Amino acid sequence: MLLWLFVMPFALANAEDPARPVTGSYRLEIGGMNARSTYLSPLKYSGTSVGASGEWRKSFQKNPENLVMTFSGAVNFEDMINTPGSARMLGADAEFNWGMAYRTRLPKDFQITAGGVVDINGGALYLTRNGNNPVSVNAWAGIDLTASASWHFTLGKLPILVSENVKLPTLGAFFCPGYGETYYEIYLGNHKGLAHCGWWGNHFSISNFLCLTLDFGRTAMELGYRYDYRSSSANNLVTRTSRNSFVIGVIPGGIGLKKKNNINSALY
Amino acid sequence: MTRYIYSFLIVLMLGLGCFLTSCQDVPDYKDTPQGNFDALADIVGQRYCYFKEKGINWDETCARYRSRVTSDTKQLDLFNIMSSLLDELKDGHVNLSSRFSTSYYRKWWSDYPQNFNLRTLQQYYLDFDYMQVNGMSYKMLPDSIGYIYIPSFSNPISESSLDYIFAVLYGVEKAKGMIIDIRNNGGGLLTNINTLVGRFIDKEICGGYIRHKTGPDPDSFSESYKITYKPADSNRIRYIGPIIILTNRSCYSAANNFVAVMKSLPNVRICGSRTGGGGGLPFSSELPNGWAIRFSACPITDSEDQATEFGIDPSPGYEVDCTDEELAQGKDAILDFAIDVYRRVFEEADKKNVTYTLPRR
Repeated sequence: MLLWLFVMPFALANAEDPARPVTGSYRLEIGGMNARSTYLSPLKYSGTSVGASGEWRKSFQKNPENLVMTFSGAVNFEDMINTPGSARMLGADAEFNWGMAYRTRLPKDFQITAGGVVDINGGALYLTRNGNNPVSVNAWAGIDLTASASWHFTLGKLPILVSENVKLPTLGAFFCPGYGETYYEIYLGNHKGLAHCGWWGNHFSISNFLCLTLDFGRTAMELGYRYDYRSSSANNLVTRTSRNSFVIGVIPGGIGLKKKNNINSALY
Repeated sequence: MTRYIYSFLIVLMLGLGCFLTSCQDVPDYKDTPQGNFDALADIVGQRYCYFKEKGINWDETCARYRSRVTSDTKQLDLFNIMSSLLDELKDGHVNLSSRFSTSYYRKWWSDYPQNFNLRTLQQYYLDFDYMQVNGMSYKMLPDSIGYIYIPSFSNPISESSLDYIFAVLYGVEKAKGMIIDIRNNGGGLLTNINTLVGRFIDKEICGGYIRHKTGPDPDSFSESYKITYKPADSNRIRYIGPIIILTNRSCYSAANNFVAVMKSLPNVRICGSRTGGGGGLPFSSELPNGWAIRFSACPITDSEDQATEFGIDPSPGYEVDCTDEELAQGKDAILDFAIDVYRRVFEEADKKNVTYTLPRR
């Protein structure tokens, strides 16, 4: 799979058609995180977050001018303390997205997209001092709406792509224990009321990724900022997390702006 | 035109999402003496599970103590006021933890006879010569009675340790009866109860029920969920013979739960004094100043769905107390009673040449 992802940027589907390379981005994300889960504590926890993510994008074969296919995955780890500094909370989460977007190329090198992804993500906040309710598990499986806007220009001889990506989980299902339910009871087999239908009214999240891609030809570098807000409310419990991360990434093979190859890129 | 539609949709999504998110209520308390007191009152008021059983009017109780809190109340004084408030719950599962102290309601055991002395047991009954594994002590007592002392359920009890204990007592030394002594066992992991009970049953049993709060309203509880216990795997050693469990007031929480489950078995008698209770599975939370609070949140009842919070009584006819003087002289009346029951049962069974069973009184 990984080999395919690396090889694909250089493969041609049809000698007459422009190539549709897979643009693979590999990123490291470092920043701050705030979390509050009333299942664990009414207090807000703040700290650092580190993560790694990858995203693979490609113009879709059936309609390469207008359809873009995306697959992405990410893992994050958090280390936080509460405001008085008396307790520590650790967090970990992972997510996988696959989706399609409809693209419109606009004049003056602008591009906008709108679409949707299948989003599966899960994680946990672990409050180290708690006994029978030490963990707040967060899990979501559903459909997210996505939108993006990008514009590329040249600064000196360096092609640069500026892009803004928004992802909005919209309909799906998420996990939430009962108000006073312990994981021991769940372990015993009582799974009633754990899964909830999610929509913006009880599960509002938004992910915002602003990125500057510098295309050096054989490789491209990404510098970006990601804001990730997640909240859920069910069974009289509220969980909210917000993460601000600086992102640095690399795209092996570049994005094709520098080489001016005849490609149909998913990015512009 | 398309771009305007996209822009409109994005702005609409963000606006609606922000509006809906702001509707979600998260309590925000100030880190002041009154703010911390109010946080404690609300957390316990909304999540504690035994107000009804204990006849406590929490709002009225809090009002009495809150009048003692002012903006000038010092940390130590605030801690003492809060601790006194929590003592009104008369619950050993309730603690307030600060950097300088942890409050603890002790009267559930300090107001009762101890009925146990470890030194007496080790010196006069075990002769300082017993086997020990996984925190459990065991020995074959005279008259072929297997004896196991389990002082705590804090650490996981391993299946292999139980196999060795049972193999030594019942495979090698051919014990005919079993005494499980859990006096002074303050509880620990509930999963240990599943491990232990599985060794004494040959079919699945209902050992109790568990409920949880479904909301902040005092009467919001889930339906009772049956707690079932399954026999240990067939490759494990099980014991289905007569068992006498020795208890005192200091048997609490998971130990109390163990007694409640075992008491429902026909071959088991509970001997000694009433256990300390602690039938509520505790939950944890925090106050704005960083202090931690722990309280009973999920009531666990016995196999007949009766409360276990106030302790489990010994089996009828098996109520025994020992005085401190007797214990100091090397006499453990509770253990003596259990040994005596077995002796008489064995004699009776031998005379009639029948299988021995423990008497009900």
